Amino acid sequence: MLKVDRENRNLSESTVKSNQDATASYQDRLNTDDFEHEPVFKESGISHETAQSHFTIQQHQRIEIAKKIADDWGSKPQSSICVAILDYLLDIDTATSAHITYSLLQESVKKSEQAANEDRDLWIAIQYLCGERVHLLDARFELVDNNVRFPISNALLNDARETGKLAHPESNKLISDFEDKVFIYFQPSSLVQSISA
Amino acid sequence: MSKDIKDNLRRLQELESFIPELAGFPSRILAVNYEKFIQVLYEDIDKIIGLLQENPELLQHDTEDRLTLSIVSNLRCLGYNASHEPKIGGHVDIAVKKSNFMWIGEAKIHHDYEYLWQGFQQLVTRYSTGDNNQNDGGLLIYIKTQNTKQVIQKWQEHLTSKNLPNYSIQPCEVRNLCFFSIHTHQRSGCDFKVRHMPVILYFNPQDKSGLKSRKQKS
Repeated sequence: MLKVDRENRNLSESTVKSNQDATASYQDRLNTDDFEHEPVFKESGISHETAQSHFTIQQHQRIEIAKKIADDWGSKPQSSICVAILDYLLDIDTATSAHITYSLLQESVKKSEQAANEDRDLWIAIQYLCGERVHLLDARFELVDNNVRFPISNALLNDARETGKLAHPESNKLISDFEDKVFIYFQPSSLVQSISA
Repeated sequence: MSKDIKDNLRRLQELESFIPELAGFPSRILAVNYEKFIQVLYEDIDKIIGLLQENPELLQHDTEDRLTLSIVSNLRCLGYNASHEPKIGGHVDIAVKKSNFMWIGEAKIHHDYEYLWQGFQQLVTRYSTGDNNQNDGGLLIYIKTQNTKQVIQKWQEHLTSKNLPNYSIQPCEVRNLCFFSIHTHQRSGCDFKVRHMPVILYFNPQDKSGLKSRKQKS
């Protein structure tokens, strides 16, 4: 479902026109009337032109990203897995979804009929999406200690990997078996957030 | 709160050992400074070179561009923002960017040492700035003749004879066929470090089937 930030959706007429011209070539690929049935547009009270412009820009960006993924992966499973993750990220509320686990990504891929869902292929896709090439995911690390989560900075984790011990972010106590207690999770990247905005 | 064991750091490190494509994944994420970025990039380039070297028989007729594109494609699949022939002071063979970090590479099929010298000159005088976070580059040398070690030794001697300003050489501790050259960059006046990386593509099997195959071709 598309989301529209009601407070900030304030495009000028010239900007809307410019956006429409820029993405005119995508009209053939889009059913431009479809978006009008999206509840968020019907309820938002924003103008038809503004809604159409936003819908078209987001679809344009999605197509560009999907094309890059296809260029890099061709017919490999990562192609469909990455697109499934892209669609999942565009679907969630990025403002509140700041803690995406591997399991959530796995579920999102399973829901996609086209995507393969082997663990190995999914991890390779996640690695790709955490990189700069198609940067959809920010990888983060946290220490889970007595069921409490503590974010771990990359610098702290680098030190831990070199010394073999992690300094607890609060108590500063050294933890030697930190690899079992430090978990990776993901956040939508700034690129995803800008598309979703 | 229960945590799924499949995404703890130990599991990730275990995955690296049996999924080759995942090797270096945490290191790549955790490369927060330029030195670490370069170190991890070279580890990844070495792995890709290793893949190319596994099947030299398939690459005998590949051009410089085709070989370089293979390297760029593999880097992209690891998530690198890698480009082939982007416009940077001309058309450098490979550029890898991460935030404000940049590494550029020139690639040459070894014909003679002056040809490699031209590639080196393109890298250090045309494409690179030598600025902060951009003061490392690479020369990929595709070698289709035998005795790569000798080629690299002779190349090193040839480079040394050019008397570059404040020039020095360092061995590579990770891959002993590689070496580093450091000299004062013409544009920035800062040290510019180049890793010289051979790609072994010589293929001339001497076993019975190899000899038979050559006889049939001639």
